[in-house]
Amino acid sequence: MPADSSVVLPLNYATMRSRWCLASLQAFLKRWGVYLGMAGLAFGAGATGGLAAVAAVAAWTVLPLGWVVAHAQWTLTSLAKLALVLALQSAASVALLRAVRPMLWPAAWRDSEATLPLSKRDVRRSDAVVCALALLLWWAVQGLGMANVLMQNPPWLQPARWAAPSALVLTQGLAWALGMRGLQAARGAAVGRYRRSPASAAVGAIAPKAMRWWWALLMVPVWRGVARSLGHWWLASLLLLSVPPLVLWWQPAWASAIFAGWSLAALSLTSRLGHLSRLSLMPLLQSAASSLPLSPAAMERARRWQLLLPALVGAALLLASVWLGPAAALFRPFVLATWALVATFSLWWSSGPPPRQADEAALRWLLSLVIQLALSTEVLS
Amino acid sequence: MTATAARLVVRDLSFSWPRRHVFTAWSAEVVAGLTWLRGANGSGKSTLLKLLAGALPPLAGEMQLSGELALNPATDALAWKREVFWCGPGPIAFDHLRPQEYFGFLKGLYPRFDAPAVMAHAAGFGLGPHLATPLAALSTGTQRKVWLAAALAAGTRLRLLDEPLNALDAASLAYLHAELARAARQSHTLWLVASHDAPVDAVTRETCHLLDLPLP
Repeated sequence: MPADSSVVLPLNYATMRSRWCLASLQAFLKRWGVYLGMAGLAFGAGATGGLAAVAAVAAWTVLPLGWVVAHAQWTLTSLAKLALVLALQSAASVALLRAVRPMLWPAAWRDSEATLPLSKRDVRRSDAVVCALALLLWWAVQGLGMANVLMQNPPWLQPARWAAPSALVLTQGLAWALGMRGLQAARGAAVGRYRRSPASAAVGAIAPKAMRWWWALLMVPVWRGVARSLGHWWLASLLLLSVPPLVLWWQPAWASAIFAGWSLAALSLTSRLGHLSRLSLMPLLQSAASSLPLSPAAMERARRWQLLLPALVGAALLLASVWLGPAAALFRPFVLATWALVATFSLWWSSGPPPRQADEAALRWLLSLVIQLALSTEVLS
Repeated sequence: MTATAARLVVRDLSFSWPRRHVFTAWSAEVVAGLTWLRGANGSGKSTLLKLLAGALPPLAGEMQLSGELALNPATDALAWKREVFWCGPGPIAFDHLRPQEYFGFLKGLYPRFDAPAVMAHAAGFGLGPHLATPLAALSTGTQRKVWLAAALAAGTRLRLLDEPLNALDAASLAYLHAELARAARQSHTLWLVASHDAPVDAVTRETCHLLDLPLP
C-alpha cells in the first residue's frame, strides 16, 4: 500500500472509545444473549404472545418504582421506602455499569490514556458516552416497561402518572452520573496506589520456601495476581451458595424453591467462574504447561475443581441441612441423590472448555437446569 | 517556526511504588538530541519515562521543559502532555483501531503531528500491508512499529521511548537506528530512549548523550 497522508483522518477520543465499547458490548451480548433471552422467557411466560412477553418483562423492571411513587406519602416510613426504591433502581443500573466496566475502560489503557494530551472535559465526555452506550439497552427496557404500565393505566397509578416516569428518569440520571464517577474513581484508585509512603526497610536475603505448583499457578494469581476478578467472584459464589442451606434449615417447607434457586445460582455462577478462569488463568496454565515439567491434564483438572469448590461446598451444606435438619423425614432420599448426581455432572460440564457451537452450550446448560428444576419440585415427600 | 534548543530539567524528583522506593530527590538535565537512558533492571528507567510522560504523579519534585515556552506538568498538565510523546515497552493499548485510524486519533491530539511523515515512517517500517488491519490482529513487533512510527512523527518536543528495540526485525531495527541517528542531531527535540542495547549504531554513538540511573 503506498504511503498516503490522505488516509490519516482525525478521530476524537470519545469516538475512539465508543468504537471499542460498542464492539465489546456487542461481543458480550452475543455471548450472554441466549441466557438473557431464556431469563426473559421465564419471567414473561404468562404472556399471550412474544411482544406481550417482552412488554411484561420490561414492566417488571419499573413496577416496584411506579408502585412506591404512586403510594408515597409525607410520612417518614413512606419517604424512607421511596428513597430505598429510588436507590435500588439506580443501584441496578450502577451495578450493570460496574459489571461491564472492562468494556468501558480497560485497565490496560491506563498508562497510554494518562500520557495523552486529553483535557478533563474530553475524558469526562468520553466517559459519558460509553456509560450511556452501556445503559442504552437497559434504558430501552425500562422505558418500554414504563410505557407498558402507563398504557395499562391501573387505578393505583392515577396520582403518579407524571411522577413515576420522572422518578425513573431521575434514577437513571443518577446512575449515569454515578457510573461516570465510578470510572473516574477507577483511574484515581489506580494512581492512588502509587502514592503510598516509601517502603521503610530494605528486604534482606530470604530463603525460598517450597510452593506447590497448584498454589503458585491457581491460588496466588487469584488473590494477588492476574485472576483477582476470578477471586472476587469465587468468594461471592461461596457466600451466595452457602446462604440457601441456612434458609432451608429454618424453612424446610420452602425446600423446592430453595433447591431450584440454588441450582440456577450454582449453574450461573459456575459458568461465570469458568468464563473468568478461561480468560485469566488459562493463558498462565498454557504457558506453564509449555515451559514447565507439569501435566496439562492435571492442571486442567485442578482448575476445574477450583471452580467447582464453591458449588460443592454449597451442595454439601444443602444436603447436610436436609439430613441433620429438623425435617429430615420429609425429604425423599432417592430424589435428593439423583438431584445431587445431576447437579455434580452439570456443574462439571459447565466448568469445562466451552463446546465449539454456542447453541450447543446453551442447550446443554438449559437441559441440565430443567432436569434440576424438575427434581427440585419433587424433593419433598 | 524557529527552533530553539530544548532542555529538560528534573529537580528533586521522588517516587515510590507501594513496596519499592525508586527516586529520592533525583535531579538531572537532558539536552536536545538523543539521550540513552541506561540502568540495570529495576533501576527505574520505565518509571522515570512514565513520570516524565505524566502517567504517574511524583511524590515530590518538579520537571521543566524549556525552549520557546517553559512548561511544567504540575501547573499545566495538558500543555505538558501536548509536548511529550511516550512510546511504552509493550503493545499499543487501543488495539481495536487500525494503524491509520490510530495515526488519525493521534493527529487530533498532538498539534504538530506530521501526517505525511508518519506514513513515510510506516513505509520505512514496512507497515504498508498492515495499515488497514486492526492492531489487535497484528503481531507485537508490528504493533511496536506502528507506535514507533507515531513517535517519530509526533512533533512533540520531548519523545520518550521505552525499550524501542524490543521485538523489531533486522530491517526495522536498521530503519530505527537511522532515524534515531538523525534525531541525535536535532536541536529542538529531546529524545530520551531507555534501552539495554545502544539505540544507535557504533558510528553515531558518539553523538548520543548518556544518562545513567543507579539502582535505588
